[in-house]
Parts: sequence; structure tokens; C-alpha cells
Amino acid sequence: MDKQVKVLVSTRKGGFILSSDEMRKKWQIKGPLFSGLEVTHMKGSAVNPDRIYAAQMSKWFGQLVYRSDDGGENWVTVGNHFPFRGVPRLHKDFGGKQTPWKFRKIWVFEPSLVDAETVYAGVEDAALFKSTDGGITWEELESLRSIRGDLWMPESNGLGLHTILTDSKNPDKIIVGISAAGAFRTLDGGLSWKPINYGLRAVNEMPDSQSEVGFCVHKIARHLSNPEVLFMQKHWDVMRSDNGGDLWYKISGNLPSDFGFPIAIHAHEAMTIYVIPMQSDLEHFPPDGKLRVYRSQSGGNQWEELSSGLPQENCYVNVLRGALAVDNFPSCGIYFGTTGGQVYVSSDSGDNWQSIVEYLPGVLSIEVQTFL
Amino acid sequence: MMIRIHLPAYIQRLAGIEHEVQLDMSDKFSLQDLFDWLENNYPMLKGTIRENGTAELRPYLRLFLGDEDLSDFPLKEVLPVKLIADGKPLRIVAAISGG
Repeated sequence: MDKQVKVLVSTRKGGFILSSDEMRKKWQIKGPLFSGLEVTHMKGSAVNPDRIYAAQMSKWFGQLVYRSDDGGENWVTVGNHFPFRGVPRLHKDFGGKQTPWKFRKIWVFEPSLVDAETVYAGVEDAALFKSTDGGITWEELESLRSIRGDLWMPESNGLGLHTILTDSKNPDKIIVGISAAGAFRTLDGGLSWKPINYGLRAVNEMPDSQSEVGFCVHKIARHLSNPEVLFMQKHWDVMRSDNGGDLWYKISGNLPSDFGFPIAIHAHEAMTIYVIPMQSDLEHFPPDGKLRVYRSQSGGNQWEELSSGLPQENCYVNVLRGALAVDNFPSCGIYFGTTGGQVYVSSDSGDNWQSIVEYLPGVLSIEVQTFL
Repeated sequence: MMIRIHLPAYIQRLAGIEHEVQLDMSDKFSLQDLFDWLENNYPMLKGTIRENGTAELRPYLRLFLGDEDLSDFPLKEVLPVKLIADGKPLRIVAAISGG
């Protein structure tokens, strides 16, 4: 197979697959897949890249899970039953009252890095499910919700588990991120969990800013070559941990705003990270109406503005937490999608950008598959 | 007794059905029997009309048989003969919602 990249784009009205070669100049657009209803996430397996999972949700017909085993050409529905396990539990609602857990939708898939049949799903209300049969049946790793789940509270889009980081060298080690609960880590495959939120602050959002849980973590990124170093975009603050989440410290540095949603790491440089700042938690649009990516090549604090090829006036789109990703070509490609339906690519690590498509439905998430 | 079920457009597409399905039922049957038949013959519809777990009708769907609104009719209760005798289809209707 020629070198190729596939960008899996999930939008409010269906999924799209954008394909190109290593040059990343000419693109083929496939879709819409599952058109008409919201596709929250699509992701391919690293073990078997032809296997792709897609989550579609609607108020009318509920959660559907699709699986393709031929790279997105054909799709079948697989299991869409996500039963909570263990004792019934309560979490906080928006008003702070206790309310029962309820399955609402899938936010994210994370196919195992070592087994093609194993895949994790992060759902709302926040919980982690695991399938070992390619998505046909799902089983909750329920002890996660025992970690002060009574204090977890939804953010404006719901109480969602949005980040799942697995480790190819140690499959029993999993880190998850939940809004608004925080980050959690298991070292035994999900039998027991530890909150890893020490050092996070939420002075303006939480009465007890020293709380063990309750933080509005927007996204966590980790480079597989350096698994103890984690980077986090929080509701406010860009954070870093050098010990697997045991202690976090702020690396916002000279960013124009440290509010934002996604964070990503360069494919080949474990200390090169990317964020896309938004003005504030009220104004989910770029500062000054200029769409800019910020890159730090020092693991934080020193940030450079990347704007070549991006709109620099009258731009008021948002970039959601799952809508920033990278490819693995030697010249690392960076991709992001906007709520305005644009998908941008940089084939030179962020120095220069071009749009791939400009008029898709609002982009919810992006994943990238590189075929070297 | 031949029963017709008219499905929402998205469900038709998902199941590969054109417009409606027909099934031969005994004289006494319930809505649950109809939905069981649908899900057994079209497994991809599990969870799309009835909730997974509770097996209740999904909240944004309504049921009509002719002019009768059966949305709140107990799913396990046998349907009255007068409702089903004239051959009108059971319509599963998705709420108009959104903009």
C-alpha cells in the first residue's frame, strides 16, 4: 500500500473519512457516513487499522455502535447495551443534588494497543466500559465510579468520560479523564482506581479547590515514548505532570488564554505540545477573532503562535476537546476541526496550515490513521 | 392475522426496510410481542425503539394505530381486537424535534 493518511471526522450530522498521501495536499472526501444524526467519535484500531468503531447517538433512536472491518467501506452495528454494574450509585446534577447514574451516550472509543478485539468506551454519565469481542458486548469497569462518584458533576455538555489513555507496554495501566470529575488511574486493569488530581486548582469553579475530585478536565495527552509525562488542558489552565499524574503543575506560560479544549503531542517529539486557546469559558471563540494554534517545544510555558494559513480576522469558531490530532509521517501532520465545519491540516508540524474542507457540519472529533 | 408496522425513515434505512414490515400474528398479541418480533428479525434495531435494559418505549417515539395514540398503552397488554381488526398499520413516529 502507498503511504496514506486517513482522517476520521465525526460531526453533528454524520461521519467523514478524508484521505490523502504523504504530501497531504490533495484530499478525497468520503461521506457522510450514517448521515443525519450525530456521530460523536470514530477511531481505528492500531493493531488492525482496517477495524474502525463509530458511535452515533440521537434522542430518537438512542445509541448505535458501528464497526467496520475494511477500513470504513462497509459497516455493521454491534453492541449498544451499556449496563452499569455493581451497586446503584448517585452523582451530582447541575444543581448539586444527587441523581442516579444513567447511560446517555458514548463520548469516546479507545481500541486496545495490543489486542484487536479489545476496545474501551467512555460514556456519559461518566463510566468506562470494556469489550473483548470487538464491541459486541460491553462490561463496565465499575470500581471507577466508587472514587467519590457522589461528588462528580456534569459540565455543560454532560458528565462525560472523554479521555482514555492505554499503555502498550502495560495494558493494565489506564488513565481516564472526566468532566467534571478529574483524572483517574488504574494499574490493575480497572479493578482499582486512584484519583490523580493533586496540583489542579479550580479557584473560581469549586468551593473546595483542594478537593480530591470535581475538576473539569478537558483533555489529557501522553506520548507513548514518555508515558510518565502527561499534559492536560483543563477548563482553565494548561497543566503537566512528570510522574504519571501524581502531581500537576501549571505550564500556561505566555498563552493569550489558557482556556481551551484539546491538547495534543507531536508524533516524534515528546515535549512538543499543541493547544488551541479560546477567549474564555463564556466566549468559546479564539481571542481577537484570530484562529491560532500554540506550540510549545519545551514541554510547556514557552509557547509560539502558529497562524500561517489560518483565518486571522472575524473567526469565531470553537475547537472541541476531541478535534485535534496528529499523524505519524516523518514530517508530522497536525489536524483540527472546528464547530464551523472546517478541517485544517499542517504537514510541517504546525508551521503552515491549509483547509481540507470548509463546509462540513460542526466537527465533534478527529482521529488520524497513518499508513507508512 | 397480518399486521403492518410503519417505521420512521431512519429505522427503515438502518434495517434495510422499505416503508413498512408485515408479520403474521396470532389473534392475541401485545406491543411487546410486535417489538420482540422486530428485534428478532432485525437485530440492529435493539435499543433503537425500546430502551436497552428497561425495554420501555424510547421517549422521543410515539405509537399510533389509526387515530388511536398507543404511546402510553401498556406494552405487555393484549391489544384490543377492535383496534387491530381493520388492517391499519401500527405507526412508530419520531417526534418532531429540533429545528
